[in-house]
Parts: sequence; structure tokens; C-alpha cells
Amino acid sequence: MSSVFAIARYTIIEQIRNRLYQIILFFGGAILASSLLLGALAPGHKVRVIFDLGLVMLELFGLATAVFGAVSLVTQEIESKTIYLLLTRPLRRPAYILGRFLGLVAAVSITMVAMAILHVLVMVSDRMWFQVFTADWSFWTVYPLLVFMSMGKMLITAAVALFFSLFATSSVSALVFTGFFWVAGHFGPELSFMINKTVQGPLRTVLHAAAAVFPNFQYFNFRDMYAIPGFPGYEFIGWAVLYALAYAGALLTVSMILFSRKEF
Amino acid sequence: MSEAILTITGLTKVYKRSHLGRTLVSRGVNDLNVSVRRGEVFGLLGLNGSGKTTTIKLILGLLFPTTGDIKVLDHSVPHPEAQKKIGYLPEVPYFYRNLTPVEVLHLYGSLSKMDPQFLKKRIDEVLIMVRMDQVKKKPMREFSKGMLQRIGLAQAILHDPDLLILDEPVTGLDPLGIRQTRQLIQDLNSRGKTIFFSSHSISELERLAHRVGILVDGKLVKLLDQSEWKEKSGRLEELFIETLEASGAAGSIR
Amino acid sequence: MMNRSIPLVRKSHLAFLIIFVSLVILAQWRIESRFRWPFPALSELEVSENYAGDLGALFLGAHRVAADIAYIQLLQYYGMGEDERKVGRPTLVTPWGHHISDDEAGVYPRLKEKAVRLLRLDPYFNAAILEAAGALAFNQVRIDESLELLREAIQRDPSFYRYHLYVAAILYRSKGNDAELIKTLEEAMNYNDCPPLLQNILGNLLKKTGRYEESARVFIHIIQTGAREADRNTARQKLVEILQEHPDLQRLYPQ
Repeated sequence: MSSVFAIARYTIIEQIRNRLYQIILFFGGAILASSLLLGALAPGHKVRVIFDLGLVMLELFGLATAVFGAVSLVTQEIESKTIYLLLTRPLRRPAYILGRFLGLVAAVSITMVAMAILHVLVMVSDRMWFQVFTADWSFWTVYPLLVFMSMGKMLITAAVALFFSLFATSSVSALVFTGFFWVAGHFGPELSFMINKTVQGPLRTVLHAAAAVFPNFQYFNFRDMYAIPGFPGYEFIGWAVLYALAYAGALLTVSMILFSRKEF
Repeated sequence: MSEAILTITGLTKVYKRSHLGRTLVSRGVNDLNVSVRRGEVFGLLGLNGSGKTTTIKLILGLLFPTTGDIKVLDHSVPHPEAQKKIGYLPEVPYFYRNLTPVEVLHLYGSLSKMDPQFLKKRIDEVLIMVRMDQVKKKPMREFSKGMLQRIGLAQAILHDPDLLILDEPVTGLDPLGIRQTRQLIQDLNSRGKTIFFSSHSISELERLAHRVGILVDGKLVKLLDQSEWKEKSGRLEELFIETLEASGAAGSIR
Repeated sequence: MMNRSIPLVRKSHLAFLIIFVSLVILAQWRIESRFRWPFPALSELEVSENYAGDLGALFLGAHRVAADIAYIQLLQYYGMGEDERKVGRPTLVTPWGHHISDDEAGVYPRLKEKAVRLLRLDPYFNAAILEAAGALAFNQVRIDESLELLREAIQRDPSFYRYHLYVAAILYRSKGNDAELIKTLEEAMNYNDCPPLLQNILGNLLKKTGRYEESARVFIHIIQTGAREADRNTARQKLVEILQEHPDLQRLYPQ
């Protein structure tokens, strides 16, 4: 485990010092601040608009950082040959993959937390901010949960990007595949709906199974669902978290298998 | 010099490539058998593409053999116990541009399971040894090739390995850099370290190696002892050319 | 030649993979069986000039943001009376005596369409939908459109009792369809947080339409569950009136 943490540590440092990472963080912050303008167009619901838009921006920028980071996480090391001096150490290859992934996730989480703090400051600047929330949740309970659920989405997407990067021919193609999975992952309920409407019998089961290969990102859009009366919050979150960890875990395991067989 | 620290038995590496529907087969290493004794300096000599780097990568576990066995200190490669005892310097060391020498060495030392307290001290020691202590907190993107080579040496010896594997250690260095590297190798060997290095530079092999293996098309065709070239300067080069001519490889330019 | 040394897939990796995949299947099955997806299907979205944008937002999993933008656009539309106002339209007076001046009597033919768009993007943006329904009913005097909007809103979010309240208010005030009003209020009473005011309206209507037993049951419910003394007293009064006219119903409330 110490090797995993050593790898994770340098990954965090490397990511944070990366110019692309800093640019994404800067633009994310700028756009978050500009959500104030949109909020002004919705009198009476200004804070709701800032709240909703800010969460989406936070998620999108976190995801951009995760995907760009994950796609080049290993490929860049292979291309630059910095990986040689790592793999010739007493470091198991699965530990390398796990360490790189955890480091990336940590670095991106730092981004998201930084943007979340900015977002909260933007909202708190309006004295009526607390009115956004329902009787079921307090702001200080629901906000961290919503950011946490976005991190679940980021975790899965980063695992998908890492997986594709290990066998795609280039970083660009890995990005494209990941983007496709990202879109398909939000299509989950619609896909189920269409399958149920158009197909019967065993084929329906087969298609549902095939559709289940794509991650269902709607499970993590808790920001759309927390205010729905009677929506079972913690139970839903629990299962969604398990889903995220297991899905990412499965992809990481396959990535470890692929990487263990790679020659340099 | 006694026990074998590195034993290579029947090592073969076959590459298969598909091209326009045909499968092209080539052998990077062909039935290599060699044993390196503890405390010796072993040189691997050959033309470009003869299999020197492939052999090194196989020893380090970066490539997987098609057949054969490699043992380092009785552990089949790759094995964490073996890797703890190996220090590797690639032909062109690549480092993380945004990290400093201290950070990079700290990473490698952690991965080599060095004690954290000892590691801190050791980092300072090796940076002094390679004369890079003045720039230890600068990011690597600002370093010249020679400086990177020195950091490469630093990371190779950081964990005090028993076996040092150096791939073309003097390539691209200026004469002063070559001399300093040679002195460092001699110093390490005098402290009981085993050195296994590949080189085009016959003069360096002449000066440093106890034994030299000549590779032609992935096969070890000749194993020479120091006594065969020590008495006459330039004798190793003659032996090398003779070996190439005998195996029919002398005419090929790569 | 067999390659002996490329590591085969380790048993531990395979075991982990099987465990993870099993957990994914378990979690997914649990979520799908336990939770109903609360938003309308894509096929139900209002097709308008904003369709592509709406789809894009939904693909990003941003129902609320899509609805927020739809709300802003609705406000912009409703606020842009100059383009749609018919000049010279006479002053209106609503059935409940509210005078609407020229400034408020813009046409806004697509107001309901835009409200439905918002509703289908986020059926739980209740406040915005109520605003739109109120604008349609009380400002535009477009009772039918307002009721259609509210009916769909109730269908999509039956627990939000204030929709029923608005419907009740609109129908009650416009001397409208008592049968529909009763049906709606009975629906509202299925929810625990249905306010006594709404229950009271239902009780009165049932009495008015001759359904005395059902009316009595409603007032008894208020007496037994009403949180405020005033509500319970009002219900008691109404119940007493009914029981005086129909003593056979005493069995429902022996006290």
C-alpha cells in the first residue's frame, strides 16, 4: 500500500502543477462566478438558478479535468518513458495503476472542492440562499452530498477514460470513446424506456443487459432529485455509491489486467 | 568475485508483427546464456539492433521472454525482491518535468521501500555524489541532457543496489561527463557493486569491464575476458571486428 | 513457441472482477426495482425551438438547470408584452371583479406551451408552475389552459397539494364544474399534508351536491386530524349542521 500512496502522491503533485489543470480550474471559477448574471434573470428564484447552474458547472469542469487527466495518465508516461524508472522498482503493476488512479481522483476532488467553496460564497452573498432548500434537508447536509454524488460520476468516468487509454491507439480516440460512454450513460432511463416499448421476450433481457454495460449516470444526478418529496435520500445514495465504487473497481481491475500484460 | 548475481538461461524474445496480412517474425534475443558474477563489471557490446537494450529490458521485466529464464539473486525476474537490488539507468533518462530532483528521488526511494528517515539523508548524499545538490529544488524541465543523466545516475544508486544495469551510460555526454561517469562506476565497483552495462563505446568497455559479451543478432557469439585485451590498447576493438566478420555481420550498417 | 512469461490473468484479479461485477448488478437491480425514475421520458418533451438545448441539458443530467433556463425564457416571453400586445384591447373585468388594464392584457399565445415545457423538464419546479398557472387563470383569464396545465402538473407531482388548492380556487371562484372540483379535492385528501382549508372546501362542496355522508366523513376527518383548534371547531360546526338535517348519520360520529 505504501507504493500505492507514493504513486498517488506524485500524481496529485503532477496534476496540480499541470498547466491544463490550472486553466480548467480558472475557467471553471470564472464561469461559476458568471452564474450570478443568469440568476439575476430569474427574480424570486435567483438562488435556485445559481445553485443549480453552479452544481452543473462544478461537475462539468471536474469531469473535464478527470477525463483529460485519465486519458493521459498512463499513455503520457509510456510515451515519455518516465514509466521505465517506475516499473523497474519493486512496484507491482496493479499498484501503479491503482496509485495513479487514486492520485488523479484526489487531484480532481481538490478541484471540485475548491470550486464548491467558490460556489457557496457566491450563493451566500445573497441573504435569501437558505430558501432554496426543502424541509427534508438542510443546506449543510445536502450540498456536500450533491458534490459527493458528482464525484461518484467523476470516479466512474475517470475509470472509463483510463480503461480506454490502455488499449486505444491514441489519446484522442480514448477521449472520443469516453465521451460516447458519458452521453450513453445519461441515456439510461430513456434506453430502458425504448427497450421496454419496442422489444419483447428474451431479446428484451439481452438488450437490457447490453445497455447495463454503460454506466447509468442518472443515479448520480441527485441534485435533480433531492427536492422531490418523499424521494428516499440516504438509501438511494447508499446504493448509488456502491454502484460507483463497484463499477470503477471493475474497470480498474480490467485496466490492471491489461497493464500487467503490457510490454515497454 | 564468486557467486552469480545474474543468470540468463536460454533467453529468447520473438517479436511478431502483422503487416499487410502477413506475419513478420524477428528475434530480439536468441537463446542467450550468460552469467554475471557478483562484484564484476560486465559489458555488453554489439551493433545497433543487436539486442542489447532488449536484453536489458528483459532483465528488468519491461519485456516478457518468449522462452528462457532470468534470475537475479535466485529470484526469477520480475520479482520485487530482485528489483530492490537492481538499479537501472536507461540510455536517456526521462523524468517528470514538473517535479524537482528531491521529489523524484523521494518517489523512487519510497517505491524501493527505503526507510523515510534514511531516504532523506540518502537523497542529499547521492545528489552530492552526482554534483546536483545545488539545483535539487529546481523543476526538471529546466535541466540539460547532462544534468538529467546525472539525476538518472542518482536514482540508480539511491537505494544502494547490488546490481547496477546501465544502458549506454556515456552516450551523449561530453568528455568531462564521460570521465565523471567512469569514475563513479569504478568507485561503485570498488565498493562491491556489480555493474552490467551495454555500450557502443569500446574504449569505455576496455577501461571498465572485467568481461565483455558480444551480441550479434540477439545471440551471444563471444565472451571475452579482460586478460584478452588488457595488454594492448585497441585490442578489444580488433576482437570485436573479428567476431563480427566471423559471424557475417561486419558488413551491415544499421 | 509458447510465451511462458507474459503473466496470465491472476486468480485474484478474476475474483475481484467477479465480485465487482456482481456488486454492480446488485446495486443496479436494487435501484431500478426500488426507485421510480421521477422525470418524464424524453419523448414527452415539448418540441419547440429550444428542443435541442433541452435535450442537450438532459444528456448532461441537468433537469433542474434545463427547467431554470425554461423559466427564465418564460419570464422573458411574458415580460415582452410589447411585441405581442394588441393595441386598443378593451379593459377586461374578471368574474371575481379584478380589473385588467391594457398593460396587463398582452396576448401571449404561447404562455401555456412554455409553461408545459417547463413542467415536463422539471415537474417539481412547483413554484414556477403555480406562477404560470396563476398568470394564465387570474391575469390572462384563460381558465381552461390554466386548468390543463395544473391537471398535468398534478398528474406528474400528485403530492404537491397546492396544485389542488389552485384548481379548487379557480373552479370554485369561476362558478365552474363542481364534479371536477370534488374529484380533484378527493385526490388531494389522499396526501397527509392536505391542508384543512382544502378539506373544508371539499366538505362544503359534497354537502352542496347532496353527498351528505361523504361530507360528514370529511369533517370528521378534520376533527380527528386537524392540527389547529380553529379548523377543528369549524369542522365541528359543519358536522353539527349536517347531523341536524340527517340524524341517521349520527352513527358516523357517536360523540
